[in-house]
Amino acid sequence: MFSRYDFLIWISIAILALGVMFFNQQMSAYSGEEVQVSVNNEKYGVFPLQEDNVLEVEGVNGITRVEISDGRVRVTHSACPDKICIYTSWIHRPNQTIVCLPNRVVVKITSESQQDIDLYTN
Amino acid sequence: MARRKIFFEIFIAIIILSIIGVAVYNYIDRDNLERYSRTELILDTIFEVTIFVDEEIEGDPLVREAFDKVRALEKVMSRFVTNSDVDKINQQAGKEPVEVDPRTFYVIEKSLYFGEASQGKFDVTIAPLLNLWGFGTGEEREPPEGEEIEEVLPLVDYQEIELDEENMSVFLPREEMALDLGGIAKGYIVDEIAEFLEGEGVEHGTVNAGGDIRALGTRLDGNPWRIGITHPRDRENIIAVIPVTQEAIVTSGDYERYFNHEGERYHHILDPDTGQPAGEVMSVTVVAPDCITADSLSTAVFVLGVEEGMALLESMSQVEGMIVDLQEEKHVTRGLKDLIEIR
Repeated sequence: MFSRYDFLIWISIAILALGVMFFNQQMSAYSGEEVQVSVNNEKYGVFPLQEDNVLEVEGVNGITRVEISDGRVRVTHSACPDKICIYTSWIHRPNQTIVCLPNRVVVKITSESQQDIDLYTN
Repeated sequence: MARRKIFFEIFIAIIILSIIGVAVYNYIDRDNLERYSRTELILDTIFEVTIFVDEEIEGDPLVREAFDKVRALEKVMSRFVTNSDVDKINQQAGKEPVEVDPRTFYVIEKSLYFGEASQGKFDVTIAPLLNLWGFGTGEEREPPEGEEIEEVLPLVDYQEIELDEENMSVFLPREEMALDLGGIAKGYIVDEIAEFLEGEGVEHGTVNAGGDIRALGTRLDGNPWRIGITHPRDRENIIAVIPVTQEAIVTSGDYERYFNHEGERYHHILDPDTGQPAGEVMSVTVVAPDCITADSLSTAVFVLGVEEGMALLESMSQVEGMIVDLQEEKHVTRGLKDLIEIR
């Protein structure tokens, strides 16, 4: 049925196909995780999760200080009465969020790839 | 020998063809459906709509329309919006019945049902108590005195709400009574948005109002949506994962809104019978066919505590859930045991 060369051609096509699949998967797995910050439903900025950073975000009532460190994010200071955003503490998984309702600041970790967890319910 | 060789070659050919098939399918599938997502701070929470649609449906306008609907519903049901139905009912308490939007009427009717089902632990007339504690006003700092609570408690009784179906009107018979639909309206609005999107042909997506979630269909890969349940004492991590398909899931936790005073933590889920924060559990997760059910039951079960809460969850059809008690022990309903992944 197959000659030896047919066989080689088929095998190489299969390897190519596997390669494409692997490449696709790798591309999505390694698409960078980012920290998205918004104020009052407006985009404020996008920052790489893997680069340590301290952001002074101007919210509607004042500054919300966002710390990115070792692939994690937290709010360390906030111009709000209840400090729920600070108590939320660190987040590090894509789709996790820190919300400061009074200061209208939202910090969210995003990623292009399909995650193990789609959504979080508190 | 020759026959064996042919079988072997056919076998190899099938494997090769299926690998190519899967690769091609993956490639096409990836481009087929487009993701549209929008997040807004609204309803006193973070509201997110995500849909996956093909090119026949215009995603952006659809998502924007969904948010217009959220805003419209908030205007009707929030007690903090002047001239909303709930505001009018509260203003006219002890004076006269108020004609309301049929949707408001429906939500209040439902709230009475969950009030009955939970022996009064779910009570939408809790507003005077919430006001006393200061939850919802952003001013909470000190717990109220026992005497103050005693004074307010008689005002909290959902059974006194007078509904008139013919006139679509609602009446609170005593002047100081007040409604707060906070424990149920969010769930209702999530349902409305989910059903609107389904009506527009959306088959895959999620509607998420700060953790009040309703899933449309499955993930794109055909698997259930995987919902992480936040650990009540270590919010960076999750305590469990629950897969859901075409269902709603809601968690109520004592860590969502609270304040500390002299080393004590006071959270916002109040027991309508004692006027104090309910003290038996840390978090309750409820899975149900719709979000209005999951939302109100999560609050009700939180106040009921482990034993009665589990009994209520087990008694309702198509409803499952998990209670995390103060020792961080997890109590899972029978129907969920095989599905849930405890972390």
